[in-house]
Formats: sequence, structure tokens, C-alpha cells
Amino acid sequence: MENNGSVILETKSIKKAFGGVKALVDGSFSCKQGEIVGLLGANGSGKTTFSKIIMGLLHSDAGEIYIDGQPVRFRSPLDAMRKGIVMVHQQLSLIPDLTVWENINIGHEPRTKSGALDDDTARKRAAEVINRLAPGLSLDRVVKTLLPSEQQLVEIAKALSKGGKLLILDEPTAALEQTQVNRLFEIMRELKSQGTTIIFISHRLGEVLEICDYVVVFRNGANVGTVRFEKDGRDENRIVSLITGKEESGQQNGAKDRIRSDEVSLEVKRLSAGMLKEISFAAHRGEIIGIGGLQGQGQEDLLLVLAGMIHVEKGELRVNGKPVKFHHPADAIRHGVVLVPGDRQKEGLFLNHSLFMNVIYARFGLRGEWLIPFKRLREEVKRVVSTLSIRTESIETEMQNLSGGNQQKVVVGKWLPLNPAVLLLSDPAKGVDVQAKRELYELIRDLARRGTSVILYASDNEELVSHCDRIFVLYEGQIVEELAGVEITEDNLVTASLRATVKQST
Amino acid sequence: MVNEAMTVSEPRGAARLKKLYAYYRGALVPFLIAIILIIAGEFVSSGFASPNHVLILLKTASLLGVLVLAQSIVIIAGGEGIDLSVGAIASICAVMAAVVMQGEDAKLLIAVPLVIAVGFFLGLINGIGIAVFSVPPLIMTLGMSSVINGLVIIYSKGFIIRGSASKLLQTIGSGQSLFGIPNMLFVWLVIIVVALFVLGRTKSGITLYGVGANELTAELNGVHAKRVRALAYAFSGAISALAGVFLLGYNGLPFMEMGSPYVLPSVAAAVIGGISLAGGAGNYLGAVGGSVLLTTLTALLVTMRMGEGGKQVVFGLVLIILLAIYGRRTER
Repeated sequence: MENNGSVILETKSIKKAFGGVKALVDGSFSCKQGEIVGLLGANGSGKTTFSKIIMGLLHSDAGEIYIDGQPVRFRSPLDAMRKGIVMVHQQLSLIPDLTVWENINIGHEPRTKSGALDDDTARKRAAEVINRLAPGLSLDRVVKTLLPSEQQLVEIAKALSKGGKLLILDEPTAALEQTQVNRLFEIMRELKSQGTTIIFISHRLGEVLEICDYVVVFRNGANVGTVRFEKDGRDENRIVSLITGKEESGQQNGAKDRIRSDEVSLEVKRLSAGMLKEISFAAHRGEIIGIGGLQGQGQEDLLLVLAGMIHVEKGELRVNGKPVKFHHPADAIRHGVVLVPGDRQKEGLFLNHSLFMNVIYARFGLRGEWLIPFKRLREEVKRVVSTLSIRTESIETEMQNLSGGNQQKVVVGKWLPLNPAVLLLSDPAKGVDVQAKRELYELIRDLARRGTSVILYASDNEELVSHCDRIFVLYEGQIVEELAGVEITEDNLVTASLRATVKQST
Repeated sequence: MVNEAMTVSEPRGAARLKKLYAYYRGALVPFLIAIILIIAGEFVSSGFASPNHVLILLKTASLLGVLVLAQSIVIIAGGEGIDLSVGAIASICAVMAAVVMQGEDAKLLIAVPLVIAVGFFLGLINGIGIAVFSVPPLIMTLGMSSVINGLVIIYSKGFIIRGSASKLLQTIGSGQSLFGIPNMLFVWLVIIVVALFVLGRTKSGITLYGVGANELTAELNGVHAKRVRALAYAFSGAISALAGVFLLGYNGLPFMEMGSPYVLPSVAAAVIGGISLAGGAGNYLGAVGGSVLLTTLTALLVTMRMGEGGKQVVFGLVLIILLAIYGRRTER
């Protein structure tokens, strides 16, 4: 595509650090009028920080931003809006109790000559964009009664009605259905032909390939490359390797040489619940199964279902061959299926209670023992503390005085005395330092060696690749691919996660 | 695995005392303030700090103290837990007990289990409303309180209630034995020991703390948090009923809304005693201290010949000041 438009946005080596964490080390970027640019990168690559700086939501530590060649420094999103930059955020910014048309006009309400709110103009403005984006959606519906996808469309409509010359869309399609995505794309093309520039941030490679003129990839806070479809072709593999930073399979899998036991600890048959659809698999004794895929494809829900926290709608669960029904986590625990939840502070710990109390609480779901055998349990808790090398002054220390890594060890360690058959782990190494992370995975492997089946969800692909015997890739609540043995590489995992999106959208 | 960083040792002797001190430190403060108030009272009116008067103060505190236990349990259970119906349940149970026993010792054994069962049942209704139907505890228990007080009025048709405490109950509630120590204090001591044991050493007690501290964590540990919370209100009701029986023993005759004046102090005493309104923290010993402190404060204000109006104003102000100090202390 020929593009002779003028450069509308240019940034030069923007830097931004949060505390000691460098979110952005070299945010350089430019785009011209009438282009659709895909902005890609793994989680934590800096693309969201970058767009927030352009919008004036965050202030850069260094670097320059030029709009139409003029240097600018936005102090607030309002500044950016005045320059014609509009953004659709990942988190919706709608007011739940207001109607569709009120939400669309909020922040730039039309006024009559006397200064009063001009509802007629406002409604007309809202109707214009809604009719294009979501025909049939009533302007008078209250936003909180809308479906998530409809709310997302209203959010987009709100941005479109501001009529900027540079539109930043951050994951706008995550909540949308296919026909809605198609309609959005039509509008994007139309806007483009009118000279609007669009930055499209997405994890869905398929959509990016379809709608964008070229893509810019961020990795570790820097712009690492541009793929121009015109010149370079729509090369999926090249984009993936830019995102991961690895040419070919890099990471070594530490679990490959293990022999799979024939005994099945957990069997899931055609399970549906919430967003999960028809999930089937069998976890063998001592096996570590990884649950991968893009974020928010139902991985956490799957673990919660297996832990008895979300109810099964359809399908069957078997533990050690016996069919089971879990109505409450207590049922799962009694069958030896235990969960290490994703948010240890909110779901895993009693922060203002002792380490001892936190560990023994794990047995309260079991029957019996009204009188707590303190002496025996103290010994048991001390064993847990020493097995996991938990660094604490004593077992009476309050949990909030332990470091994150040691807290996490307690959340895992409390299940050890119960000898679980199946250990469900939801992102166990999140926010844990390297040393503690290594010890944690050592422990998990050790448990597996002694016969526990482990089902692991991790937001970090590297953790899945280095520790799992098999990895299931989830997309929109379904298992779309299974990796095993030598197939388990970070590249394959990323490709499989992204490929799912291509299959869906083409 | 070798672990050099770990230094877990069993506390012994002095160390053990230190640990106990750390655990009950919060409980000491209200006792200390109460002692200061008692000494101050001696300056206002001589005899305020005499052993006899102190025993009277403690006896009065014991009645509040039992209701404070009922209150503490639901506060510890969390979820903005509070039980404003403790007074009403105590009242109706005192009335029922008096009507059933008609001053006869032989019927005491029927009356007490009966009203405890009634208290448990009324509390359970609170608990189900709160845990199952998500009615805010404040509203649920306030509503329950109104319903119960209304029922007593309907029953008595506004006249005096026929019935009285039996001799034995009166001896327990207001009599004294060994060295002139009120019998009620022995009863309270037993209640304190049982409460501390159940709350601190049993699965039920620690489960309750967990549910109050973090409901979601408790659920994921396999505890039925809603069930636990509903039961907390039921037990609160049963203990309130017991408090009603003691109130009857103390006064000899039942009267309408005899438990009502204890409602606000029961919350205040618990919080002064270190039981956090956020739930899941604090222990009954501190609340016992809170009961003694509030009772002493009231007595001091009476001794100072403050009129009823002035008394209420000062009492309320002191409560607010104390809680403000405590709030700051427990904030992190």
C-alpha cells in the first residue's frame, strides 16, 4: 500500500520505570496519517505503558513525543484529546448506571448556546456511531444491563464519537463475537480511508494480520522490529519470533525423560462450566500437566471447577477411577484434589494470623478432630517449614511478616500433610523471586515424583515449558491443542496460542 | 533438605510467658484503664476502690460480660458482623424463663434449656437471613430486635409479667458466698475459661477466626463459610438467652426490654477489648477487660452525681475517644 501521508505521531526513546522495574527502555515509534498499525508484544513487553504515556495517563521519565511534528508533553488525557488522540482502554470506562447515549457523550457533552446540556444533539451523535457499530442496540438501555460484548462496543463508540485523528485501540476485540469484530473492522477501514490513524493493540495474531498495514513489536520495553506486510509479507512466524525473541526452540524441558504411569488420578470427560466447553483429559499419577494459552481463555476457571469452587454444568469427573461430584471445595479436598489459588493474599492466606494457623486450617475441611492436637500439629507444621525452606522467625509469626515467596510456599505447603492426589496450581510463581521460584518448582516436581498429579496454570510460558510433561492450550474455554515431549518449546506454545486466534478469525 | 534459616523452637519458661503476654497484650490495656478509673473514683468518693465495691463492680460487669461474649462471636465471624438483638433475645428469654419457672427451683431445669433453645433458634434466624439471604447484619439484627420486643409487649399486653426467678437462680444472680465473692463471678469465670478454650483451642473456634479474617480463603480451604457464620449468630442467640437468665436472677423479676441497655455497651466493650470490627481478630479476654472498663466508667459517672443526661453525654464521648485511640493503634 502506498502511503504518502504525513507523520502524525513520532516518539523517540521514551523511558519509564516503576520503582526498580523498567517497563519501557526504548519506546521509539512513528506512524503516518491513514495507517492501521498493529502493536504487538507479550505481557509485560511495555506496549500498554507506551500507549498510556502517549495518552497522558502516565508521564515518561525521558524521551520525546511529537504530534504533527510538534513536540508535546501531555499532562492528562484531556490534553491528548485536545490534540485529537483518543483511546479505547482494556478496562471499560463506562458508568454502569447511565444509558448508552449518556455514556457515549460523557466528557464531551454538547451544549446549547445558553450553556445547558443539549440532549438532542447528544442523542443524534450517539445514534450515528451506534448505528454503524452496533445496529439494533437501543440508545436508552442502561449500560449495566448490557452484555459484556455490547458494553465493549459502547466503549468503542464513545471513542469514535470523539472523532480523533489518532485512535488507540487496546485489546478491543477480546470481548467481542466474530460478527461484531467484522463490523468493527469495516469501520476501521472506513476511518482509515478518511485519514484517521489507528494503533491496534491485540494478542490475536489472526486479527492483526487481517486488519493492519504493518506491525510493530515490543519486547522487554523496547521496539524490537517492524514487519511491513507490503514488503515482508504476512509472515506469522517472523512476528512470533520477534515477540518471543527466540529464533527456534530455546527452552529445555526438564521433565521429558520421565515415564508416565498408567494409573490415572484425575479424569475429566466432556466438562462444561461457565466459559469452559467440552474439556476432556486424563491426568496420570505423577504427571505435571500445563494449562497454557493467551490470558483469560478459561485456565483459571478450569482449576476452580476442578477444585469445587465453580459448579460443573455438564460432564464427568473421576478421581482415582471413582466418579465424583464437587459441590464445594470441601468435597474436592476430601477426594485429595487441592488448589493453590492465583491470588495468595486474597484467596490463599489469613495475613493477620500465624503461619501455624494458616497451615493447620487446610485440614479443617476434613472431618473429625474437634480438639486440635496442638503438639502433633506443631511438629507437622515445623516439618512443612523445613521441607520447603520457609524463612520465618517461628511458626507463630504472622503471615504478613513473611516475604511473598515464603508466603506462597505456605500456600502450597499447607497441603503437604494431606498427601494430595491432585495438586492444582494457579500461577504459583506470580510475584515470587527467582530463588523462591526455583525452590517452589523443585518441591512441585518432588511431589509429582511421589505420585501426585499436578495441573499447572502459569501466565509465564517459560514456567510451563520447563516443568510440564504435557501442555494443553486453551482458547475461548476449549482445549485447542496438546503439546507433549519434544513439541514442548516456548515457540510452539506461543504459536499454538496465537494460531488458535487465526483459525477462529479466518 | 537442609534449612539453616529456620529457627523454630518451642517456647519454654520465660519465653512461654512472653508468648502468652504477646497473645493477651491487647487484653491488658482495658484492665489497666479500669484500674486507673477505680483509683480515680476513690478520690471522688471514698470507698469507691474498697474491695467490696470492686466486687460489686465486677458482678455488674459479669452481666454485661456474658452479652459481650455473644457479641464477640459474631464480630469475629466477620462480614461486618454485629448483633444488635442480643438485648432483645436476653429480654424475651428472661421473661419466658420467669413465666415457666414461676419462682420454683424445680422448674429451673426446664426453663433454662428451653430458653437457650429459643435463643439459639432466634439467633439462627438472624444467621440464615445474613448468611443465606445476604441481609446486612446491622439491619437483620435490628429488625429482629424490634420483632422480639414487640412480641414481649403483645404477650404482656403492657401489664406486669407474672413470673419470677427461683430462689436458686436469685442466689446465683445476686447472692454471694466464699469471702463475700458474688456467685456470679464464679459463673463468669467458668464462662471465660470455656470461651477461651473453645475459641482458641478447638477446630470450631479457629475455623470461626478464619471465616472472619478471609472468607474466600476459608472457603478454598474446604470450610463452609456461610454455615459457620449462620451458626455464629445462633450461638450468639443462645448465649444471649443465658445472659437473660442471669439478668432475671440478678433482678428477681422480669421486665420489658431489660436487656436493651446492654446492647451498645456490648459492642463497645468488645471493640475496646481488641475485637476488630473487621472480623477475624481479637480474643474474649480483652472483651472481658472492656466489660469491666465500661462498668467502672458508668459507676464513676454515677458517683460523680452527674445527671442522667450528663452521664450519657460523657459515656458516649468517652466511648468515641477510646475507640478512636484503639482504631489508630490497630491500623497498619
